[in-house]
Amino acid sequence: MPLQLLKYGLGQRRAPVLPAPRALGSGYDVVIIGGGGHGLATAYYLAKNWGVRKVAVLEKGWLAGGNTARNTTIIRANYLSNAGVRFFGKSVELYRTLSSELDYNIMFSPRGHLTLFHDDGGKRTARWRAEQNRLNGVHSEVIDRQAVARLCPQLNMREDVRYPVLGALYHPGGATARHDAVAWGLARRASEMGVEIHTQTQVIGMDREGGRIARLHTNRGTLRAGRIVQCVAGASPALAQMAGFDLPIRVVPLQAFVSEPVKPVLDPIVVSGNLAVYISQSARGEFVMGGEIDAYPCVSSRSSHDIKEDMMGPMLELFPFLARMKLLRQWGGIADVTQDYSPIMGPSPVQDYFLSAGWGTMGFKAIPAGGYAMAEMVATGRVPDLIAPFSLERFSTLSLVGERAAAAVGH
Amino acid sequence: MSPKRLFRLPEPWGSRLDRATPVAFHFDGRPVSGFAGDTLASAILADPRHGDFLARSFKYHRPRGPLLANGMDANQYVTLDGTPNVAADGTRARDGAQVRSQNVAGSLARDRGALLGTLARFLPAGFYYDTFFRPAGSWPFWERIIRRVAGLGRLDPTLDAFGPEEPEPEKHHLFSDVAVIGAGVAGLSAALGAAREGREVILIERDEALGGRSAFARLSPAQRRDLAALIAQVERHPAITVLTSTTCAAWFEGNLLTAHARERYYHVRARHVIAAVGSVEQPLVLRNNDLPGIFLASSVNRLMAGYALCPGRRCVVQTANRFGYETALALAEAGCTVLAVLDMRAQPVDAALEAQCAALGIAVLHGLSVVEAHRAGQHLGAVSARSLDANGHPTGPVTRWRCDTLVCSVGFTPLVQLACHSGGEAIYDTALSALRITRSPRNSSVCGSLNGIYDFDAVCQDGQRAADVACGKPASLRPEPAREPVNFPWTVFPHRKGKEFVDFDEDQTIGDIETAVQAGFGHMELMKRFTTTGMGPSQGRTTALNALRVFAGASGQDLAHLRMTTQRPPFEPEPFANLAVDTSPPQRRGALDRWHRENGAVMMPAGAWLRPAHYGGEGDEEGSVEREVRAVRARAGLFDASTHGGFQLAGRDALALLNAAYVQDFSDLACGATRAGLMVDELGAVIDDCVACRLDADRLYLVTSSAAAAATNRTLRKLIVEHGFDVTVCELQGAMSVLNLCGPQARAIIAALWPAHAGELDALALHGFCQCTLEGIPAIVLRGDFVGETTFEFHVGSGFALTLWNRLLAAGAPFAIRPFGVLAQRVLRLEKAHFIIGQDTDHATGPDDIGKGAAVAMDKPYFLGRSAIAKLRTKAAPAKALRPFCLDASQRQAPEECRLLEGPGGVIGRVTSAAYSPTLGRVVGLALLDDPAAAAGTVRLWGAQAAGAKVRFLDHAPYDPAGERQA
Amino acid sequence: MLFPCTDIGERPKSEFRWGGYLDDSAASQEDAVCAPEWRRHLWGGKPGGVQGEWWFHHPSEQWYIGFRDAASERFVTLEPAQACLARQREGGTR
Repeated sequence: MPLQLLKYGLGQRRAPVLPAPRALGSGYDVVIIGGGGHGLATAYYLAKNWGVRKVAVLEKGWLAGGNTARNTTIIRANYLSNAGVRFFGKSVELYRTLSSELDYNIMFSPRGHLTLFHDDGGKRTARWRAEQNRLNGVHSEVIDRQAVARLCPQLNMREDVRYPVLGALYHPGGATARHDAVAWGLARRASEMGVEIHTQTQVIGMDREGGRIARLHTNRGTLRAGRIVQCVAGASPALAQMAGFDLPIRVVPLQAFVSEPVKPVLDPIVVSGNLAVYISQSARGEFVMGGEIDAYPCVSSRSSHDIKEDMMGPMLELFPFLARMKLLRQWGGIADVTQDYSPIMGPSPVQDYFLSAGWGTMGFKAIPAGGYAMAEMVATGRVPDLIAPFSLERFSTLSLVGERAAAAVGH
Repeated sequence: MSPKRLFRLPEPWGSRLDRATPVAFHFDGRPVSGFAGDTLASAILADPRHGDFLARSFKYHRPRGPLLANGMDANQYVTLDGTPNVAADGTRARDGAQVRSQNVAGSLARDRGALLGTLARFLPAGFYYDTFFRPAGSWPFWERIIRRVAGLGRLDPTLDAFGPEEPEPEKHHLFSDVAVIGAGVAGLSAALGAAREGREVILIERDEALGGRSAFARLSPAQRRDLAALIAQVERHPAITVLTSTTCAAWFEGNLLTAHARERYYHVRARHVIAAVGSVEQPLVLRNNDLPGIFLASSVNRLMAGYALCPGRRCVVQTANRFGYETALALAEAGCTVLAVLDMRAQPVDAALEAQCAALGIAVLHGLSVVEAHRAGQHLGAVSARSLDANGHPTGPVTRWRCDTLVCSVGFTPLVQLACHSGGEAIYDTALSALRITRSPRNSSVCGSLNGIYDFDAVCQDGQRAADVACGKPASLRPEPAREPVNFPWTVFPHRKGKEFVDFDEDQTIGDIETAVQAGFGHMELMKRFTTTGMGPSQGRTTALNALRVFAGASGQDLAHLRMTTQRPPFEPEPFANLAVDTSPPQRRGALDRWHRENGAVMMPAGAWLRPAHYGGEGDEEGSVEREVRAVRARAGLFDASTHGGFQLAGRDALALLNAAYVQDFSDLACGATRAGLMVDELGAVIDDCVACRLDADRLYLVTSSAAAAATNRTLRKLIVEHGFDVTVCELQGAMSVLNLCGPQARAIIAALWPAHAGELDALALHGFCQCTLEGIPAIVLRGDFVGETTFEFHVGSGFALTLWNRLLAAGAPFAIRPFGVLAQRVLRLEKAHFIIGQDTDHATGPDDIGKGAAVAMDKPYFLGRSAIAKLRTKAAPAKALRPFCLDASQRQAPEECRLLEGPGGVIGRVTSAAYSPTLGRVVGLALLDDPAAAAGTVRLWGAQAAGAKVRFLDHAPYDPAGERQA
Repeated sequence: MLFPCTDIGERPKSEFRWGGYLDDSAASQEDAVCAPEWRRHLWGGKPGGVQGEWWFHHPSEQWYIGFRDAASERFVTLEPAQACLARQREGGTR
């Protein structure tokens, strides 16, 4: 039995993970709107790396109850664009040591990530990603069907199916982590360093004076902020509009599904781009699954049946034995999607108002690097190289990040 | 093994059983015998050769008897013929079945996993967040161990999708005026009421027979008659479709219900939905409340009346409503000793029932509750009870009864889940001490216990009211029945030694919820996530109410203001196999598919289509591709290009449509002439190309790429309505087939085949076309250039494809013509440096990047993507370049497509296509260069050794640069 | 979910494909090169409220224009694009 567990049982309980609610102050050096993974990570790194501690995180609902609570917890860096690979590579690197850093088990579990391909177009994309990954210091490789069968013997490798498995892009660093734990661990360390986290606190208005936001109005009172960071996936366009500008973001629903728990049979994370499905098995034994985004603008997180059904046929072609499983729960999230499937991080048209938005289906895997870079930018006023390509300005100049080809599925 | 408590009662108990028909199967390798009509659970539990429980719990591996006994909770999960997590109490026993207990280490009776229970102090909720991660990276080690302990059943990945007994499921779409969920008294009344008003009704019931809880309850003779009549009328009514053994899993927007039967998946669409789903009884939360031998009254009714299964011989009944008394009377009638009925209510309420109890010698004690259960072996051995004060706190001395059975009826939770899926809201009604639906979704109503109504006659009336609403009659015509308080407000009795289970699926106790609150998880959703309370297979059905109460107490919040956590579909776990019915992506095959497969073609997927890769059979891809390439270059080849997108455009604005859709200017396209087009998206990236043939003044024939055909169809149609063009579009992919005759002997073959048309066809210039009828086959014949030899493309209706194909092959036989596949075609086009959109271009490649900038008619006022191209042209960065290249003749191995290329200053682009050209004896390819200037220096494959192949860029096609072969 | 079309009745959502916001369409695109308009052109970003949208109906290969509240997902109208635009043009000349 690990020592910590023994201590735990013997009553050495630790400080609360989430501090008790307190009154909202009248002003802060930095106000972060949105208490999800990105908001909390930004607060944490502001306090830790830059000593900025007069920080408030405002969350309209319960802590990390938006997309941080709804994603399928996959972490990977096998993107396509140079900017994307570097950024997500940094994120995976930060994730690796986050448990010890936060003194909280986020259950980072490197399972390996297989992106199957079923035709030569898929194979080309896999090769391109492998090359781009290697160029930017991320390990992934194209493997043939025999190697796929070795890594994931549960896969149906028959050739007489609709989409036979021809090979895969294998990304050994692909991992999962417990999404809630990431948020809770960040929240606890941030508040230990002085950050205030206010839940059930919704921004309902902004006073704009002289090109900056003079005051924020919330359901719990009005406050001033030296700098403001917006991290509100799903509500990004609405909040930006409150601040006085438009965002090139479409908000779309995204669905996920879990099965009943069974003993472990599936180790790696398996994605098929052609079939638009992905699956992994959690530590609890549930199969966590998803499909494509529902490509129409919608801000409700209601569940629907068609994505679930469309995902299941291809899933059972890949794993016929799953026909014996039952689906336990489905849920929806709402994702910010940009035209180039890349996030928007950087200054906004409003002075001292910074953006972290457009996370699409990749917000969870970006939490540490996003917070890390946003904190640096907010603290120093300079845009770090790591996130410079993700500026809002790129839409005005059409200097887009080339992530479209690889972003189809595989959240 | 401890002595057996459960036993079979004689007839007339057991309404579900057919005692004349025995059923035999195996549980954990030992025989079980039951009767037809038994569930797996009732047969096993009734069999004296087996114990009193058949499952162990998720975390602490505690033995668990039936809780709801109706297939709705995880306490009765077994593995059936290799399928894990089958509810034994919701699945009929069948001959020959192999049933196994699951989540046990060793045997069901002696489970080594039960050791975890003794360590519970070290394993409170969320313990894993504070441990298992030091030293850094050690979590994967611990995770492997934890994963083995977690999970319920075991899934064997080598098994087939379906067992031998299981037919493949099918999907049914049903439509009705009214759908009623639940065929208890409320649902039956509602269905009948609506049907009598002339509505088509679908009645969905998860149990195998109608009647709901009343089918097993102690009814008066009049009620019994009424119920039988109600059932008979519903079954006979021609307007009511009854679906039994069918579970409604979800209620989606627009009144779409999805429901599962064993072999069927239903989509039910109804104008009005009546939720009459009833409620489930809630356990008491006290120490050892999960011991086998502790039952809910409704479960005992079901087991005795339905399955003739008596829970034990010495019983204590704990109640707070009339149902406990009724069950006590039933137990006494079955011959059990009822030691006492403990009524939590301080004063007598049901005088008649109390008198009946007294008549049978059953002691009734008021203001008293069991506060702790005691173990005897693995089973209940005794209970301790104390008086309750006005706030439900235990006071005074402890009274102890030795007993083997405790039956509880202290409250119900309506099954609010479905109504919540569709937008209803559940609140805690402090007057009823129960959850209740306040806001029903649009075009729906709820009735029965969802409204807090339990009395038989009142429920009948409430069902009628729901039917009135469904039929548009004012509901006020009938009086609103009174709500009946069946819930006791205080059902939670903490114990200093814990083990008071709130969640039986997840083994979460009062202490776990308190731990969560102390750790700051002061919101129900956060508490749920931290403790996993309500996340197991029963999804909070037996948990939500007690969890709310415990959480309210621990956090000092007011119950009236708390909301249960968000309810999400499905209501009950739904089979993957059902969901998957008819959702495999379609496979399209061309008109010549059969010929290809019968003539040695190896087929390859290309989007939705299958196309011949080559015709050499399995094993010799390289050789056959080379033979096919040589045939085209030296003699003749025939290619099936039928997956091309095809469109007919008719109307006076057909050219204007092309001008809007493609970057080129089509204004002066003459009748009888063709022109190539390039389509870009709103970001200026190339997405499709076309060849447009102007058939006459108002008609165009458009050939587009295969993959983009559907998108191009949408684009063209959108442009037509946006601009108000006078054009109609007919999409022809698959309806037209395209046969390409290529090679130096192509003309000779045509001359031999159609002497009458030879002149006309021979006269066609490159990119010219003509319309003719070739021996009865109407065709558009195009002079194409993709493979770089004289090429005639025959565009014919797909019904003519095979005839034409055979004629061309026959006429080509003297010239040793060969059919060639996609792989040879790719080599041939690479030799000519022709690009393929989507392969040699990507989402960031514009016309300027592939040398087509000059074709873009910026002087047109509008075309799709015009503003993007204008924008891109203002950028300082130079355009990319798509360049043909070749490798030294010594290199026979083509680089993988998408390998990066490295110039003197670093990576400069990538190989988009490459193949060995047997014609040229070297590898040829196309490369997309981010930095075209760097092509002047030495370029190698990135990451290759210094000696790696040098890439030589060309300014022209590698083969026949002057195009003399196509003259 | 059912989409209420004026001409073909209620059809399931799965028969439709979203095709962009109404004012992103070709006619209004020409001068959309300055920054804010350009951003809008790259996917709207008009949170809340009733908005005009294009929907392609696969079985009939017909474009529809719907006015829909993105929050409640309810349509105010959903009619063939041709009819809707014709009426708009008429209104514009009046």
